[in-house]
Amino acid sequence: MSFCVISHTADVALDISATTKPKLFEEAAKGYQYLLLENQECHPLEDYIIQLEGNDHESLLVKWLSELAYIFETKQQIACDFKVLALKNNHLRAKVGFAPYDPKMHSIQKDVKAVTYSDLKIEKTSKGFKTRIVFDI
Amino acid sequence: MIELHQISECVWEIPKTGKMLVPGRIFASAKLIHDIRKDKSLEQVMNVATLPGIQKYSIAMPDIHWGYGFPIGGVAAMDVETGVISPGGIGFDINCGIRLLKTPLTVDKVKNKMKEIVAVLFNNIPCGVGSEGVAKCSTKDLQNIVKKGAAWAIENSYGLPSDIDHIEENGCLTQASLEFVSDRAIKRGALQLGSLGSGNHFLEVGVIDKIYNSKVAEAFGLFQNQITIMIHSGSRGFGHQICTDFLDKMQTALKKYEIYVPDRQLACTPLASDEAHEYLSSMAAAANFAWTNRQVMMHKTREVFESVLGVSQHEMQLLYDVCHNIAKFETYEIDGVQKKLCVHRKGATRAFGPNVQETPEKYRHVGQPVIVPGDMGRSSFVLVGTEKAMNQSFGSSCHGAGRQLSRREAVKQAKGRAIYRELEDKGVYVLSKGRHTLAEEMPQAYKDVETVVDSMDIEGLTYKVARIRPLGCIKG
Repeated sequence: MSFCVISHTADVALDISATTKPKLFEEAAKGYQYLLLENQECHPLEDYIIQLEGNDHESLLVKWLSELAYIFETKQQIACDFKVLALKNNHLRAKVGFAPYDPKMHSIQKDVKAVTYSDLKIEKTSKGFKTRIVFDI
Repeated sequence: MIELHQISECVWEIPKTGKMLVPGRIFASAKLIHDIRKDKSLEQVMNVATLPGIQKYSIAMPDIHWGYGFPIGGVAAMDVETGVISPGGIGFDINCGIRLLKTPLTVDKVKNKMKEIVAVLFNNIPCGVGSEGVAKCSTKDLQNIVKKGAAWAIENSYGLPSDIDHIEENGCLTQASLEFVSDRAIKRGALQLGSLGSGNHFLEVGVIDKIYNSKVAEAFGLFQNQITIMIHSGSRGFGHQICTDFLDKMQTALKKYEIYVPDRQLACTPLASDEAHEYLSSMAAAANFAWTNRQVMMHKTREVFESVLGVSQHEMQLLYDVCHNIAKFETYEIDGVQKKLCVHRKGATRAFGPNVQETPEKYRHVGQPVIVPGDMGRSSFVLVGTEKAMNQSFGSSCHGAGRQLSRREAVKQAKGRAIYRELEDKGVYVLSKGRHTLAEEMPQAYKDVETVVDSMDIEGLTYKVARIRPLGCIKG
């Protein structure tokens, strides 16, 4: 399981791989958190259940990461602990631990403005699944 | 390697192959093409050429670089009856754009005060990640902003009545509505009116150090050594959320209307569909928000110049405000017939030639001003639109220098360097909020804008009018 930051001329992308699709979603969220904070510490204080509907797993992945970005921008809460509880063809249910954003403690590294569908495909590999996701920053 | 045929000095064509409905056409010098080939932007030009109803060419400007879905620097005109609208072809930052404020000041009056001016601008104009705006607005205010555009700002004392005449579309797309805009977008928008944001957005004080065309410069009110201010920003979280919401809806529309796209970021819907109506009214809402946003920040800038330099607000006139992420309905001749088209400009500027009704009356005899920012260390340009652009590029020109380094590579190359000091040594004072902003946005991260505008100049799509050298800049 891993994520890796990939150079993109104007924006930034993450290569993500995991043994299962729920873990792929968790890794993607960790990658998003890395873009935001790199290696700064972040300890969740409150858990929330997030439920999303989508056309397929790719659209659920975009919605999942968009949800975390929306919560950060509007509620100033940084998502930092992730557990996918259920993943079906068009439904995602996950438990997310959030920490309040504190400008004195957290220096935001990348302002993730949106999550794109650019060339987005979740592909099966010999070890599980992989995908690449491009963020608008 | 993608096949490219050179048509003239700065025009290249990608032949129609596979599912492409039209050829690709790139306006760039041979040197720029060499660099453009290094990323996936030409592949994206080919992908755009597959969209239903596209007319003549999938076009790219010389500042083209790898985007998502559309290349940044892309132009695509769709037939209104058979074509589609693609929210990804406008981008997340709907009506990201730039305006140029003129002052009566010359460089000798401000050069000793630049540090103070930049510091006061930085303290008065919110910027950076998630920054909240200077003009917080209620949902009711947002309804009026969406309905009236930049005129709302002027009614609320953010600007001069004459500003409206110097904004593309007079700062208001009339089809705007909140009817199909989500509560999430409204929530994000209400917080951020009057803020720059982050990334490549900026406010820059500069000086005109070269006039190329004195007749046009005079018509534009530009003169040698004149101090100007550029403001580059967009629709902030409001536009981002609208694009996010509609990209999702367009995924469903692809299935409903059985449209094939080679990249899901190009998801689209027929222009004649309900989904298109919903998107276009929401896109217009974001466009009107963006014009209001830039108007509010320009007003704050005038206040700063008035307080620090004693120059009256009335003496600081807006040259023009152009949008470079937008879809517009415009009429062009296709195969000898006048056709109404939906022109997507993603990182491209409208550049109408002389005697076009949409250009402000005082500029109509020379053509529309086109503002092309460069980077923090070199220069920016004011250009003028031409008749040839109307025939060759759907009245479009470039929108900036175009990135040549990824943000990651720029940070890597800037390691161990003090970019702010390098700029200060060149006489440019910069303040930024983000830890990596200056590194990501350093001059070397961008192509030399002069090579970009020269490509357009050589082909006669826009002509250089004035060059602006940066003196001070604030960034998110």
